[in-house]
Amino acid sequence: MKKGDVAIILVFACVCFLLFFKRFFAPSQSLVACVWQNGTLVEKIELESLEKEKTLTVGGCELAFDKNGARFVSSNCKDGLCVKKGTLSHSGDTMACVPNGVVITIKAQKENADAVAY
Amino acid sequence: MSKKLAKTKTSVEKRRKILTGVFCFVAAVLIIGSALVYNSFKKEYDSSTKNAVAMGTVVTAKTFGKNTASVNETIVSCIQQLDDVISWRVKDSAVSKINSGQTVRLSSLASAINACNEVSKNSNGAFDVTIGPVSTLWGFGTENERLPKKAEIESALKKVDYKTLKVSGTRISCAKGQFVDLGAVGKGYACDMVKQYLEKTDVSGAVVSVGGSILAYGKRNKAGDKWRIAVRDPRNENGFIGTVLVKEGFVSTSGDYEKYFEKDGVRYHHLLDARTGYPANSGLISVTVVCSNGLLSDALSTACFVLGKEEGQKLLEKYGAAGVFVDSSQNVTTFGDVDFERAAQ
Repeated sequence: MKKGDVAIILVFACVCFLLFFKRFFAPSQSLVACVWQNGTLVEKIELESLEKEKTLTVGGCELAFDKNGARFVSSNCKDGLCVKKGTLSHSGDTMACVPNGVVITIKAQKENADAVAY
Repeated sequence: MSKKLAKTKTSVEKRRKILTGVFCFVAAVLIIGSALVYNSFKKEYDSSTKNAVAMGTVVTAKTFGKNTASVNETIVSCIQQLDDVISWRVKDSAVSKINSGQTVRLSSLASAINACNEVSKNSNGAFDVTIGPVSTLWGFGTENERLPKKAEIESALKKVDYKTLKVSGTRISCAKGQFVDLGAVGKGYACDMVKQYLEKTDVSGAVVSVGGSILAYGKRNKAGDKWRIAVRDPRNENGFIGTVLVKEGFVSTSGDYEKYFEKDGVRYHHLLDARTGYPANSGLISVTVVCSNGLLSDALSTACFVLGKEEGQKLLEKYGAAGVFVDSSQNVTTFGDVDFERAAQ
């Protein structure tokens, strides 16, 4: 085999390997916020695509979403724990307004964990 | 002669180029083919996810295989039905009846209470489901949470004694004035119920979270990779200390960040030491237990938190369970057979 042949084989192998690597290992951290009410998915929002803050009213709760995350702005529930919780901004984060049955979950487009123990 | 030689050289050259081309093509096919086979093994089965509120907390059910949407609905119903039996907040629940002085006959609850009492015995009373009189004084997670007076705690503590919570066959009763609170084990217990249900279905795998207590069931994908359960960073609610990898099993965490209030610069958290009536001060801020039983994973995580690292690890050894301990300096140590990937610092 000549040097040129070896070079062709190596280039070919590298191209195939790069295609394989990009397809299966390229990480994606784009986050999606899912809003549930009483067990039903009501909204799915890709956070990175938001140019400005988006608000949503669900079951007595006002929710806000932006590139940084999601949060409860206000709620008609008694304790307001959901509002005090702050912003969810990482994959696996979950927050609920229990009295109103409203749940927000954050997940990455490509999940790194199946669940979070807390 | 030289013409013949030249001809021979040209045909050898041609043959070599053809062979090289064929070799490249075969190599490319093998590489891409391997990638496709690898991908098909890593591909998850069909799945669906449901998030709902049950047992006063967030339930997330992700199931893989057949009829997953309907399975998820049933999972949430299962959990709510269990809450109707074990919650002291539910007026006619079995536990409320026990607390009101009645004798209740229920084999599943009897087994659960026996298991709790066994943990109480093995932890020398650090964990005790008759903690109700004390936990209601503190009121964690309610609008009534407060720092009780010393005299109140001492008086309530007299009613805390797992030995007077009697289980005889399927019959359960407690002493007068006692108050059973299964809050420390309810979520793990719910995971046990869910597992029993899943075994009767066609789902190939599931990961279910009941307020952060986790059931990892069946296969994650065709390759049978381990389930990845991230563990909350006790001092950064948006971060993780690492990931526990399990084939199947239960994962529960007890931490001082879940329910607490601060008064005069002191944090009072909900993980009470049943021997003192006060929040445990064992040098730990989080314990995660991996176990083959949900109720036990919950009970052990609480007991280990109260006992501290050394005694907690001895307790885990008795049950063949494993754990991840985080101390107040945020040092992380593991114990037992646990596959734990530490998160990047």
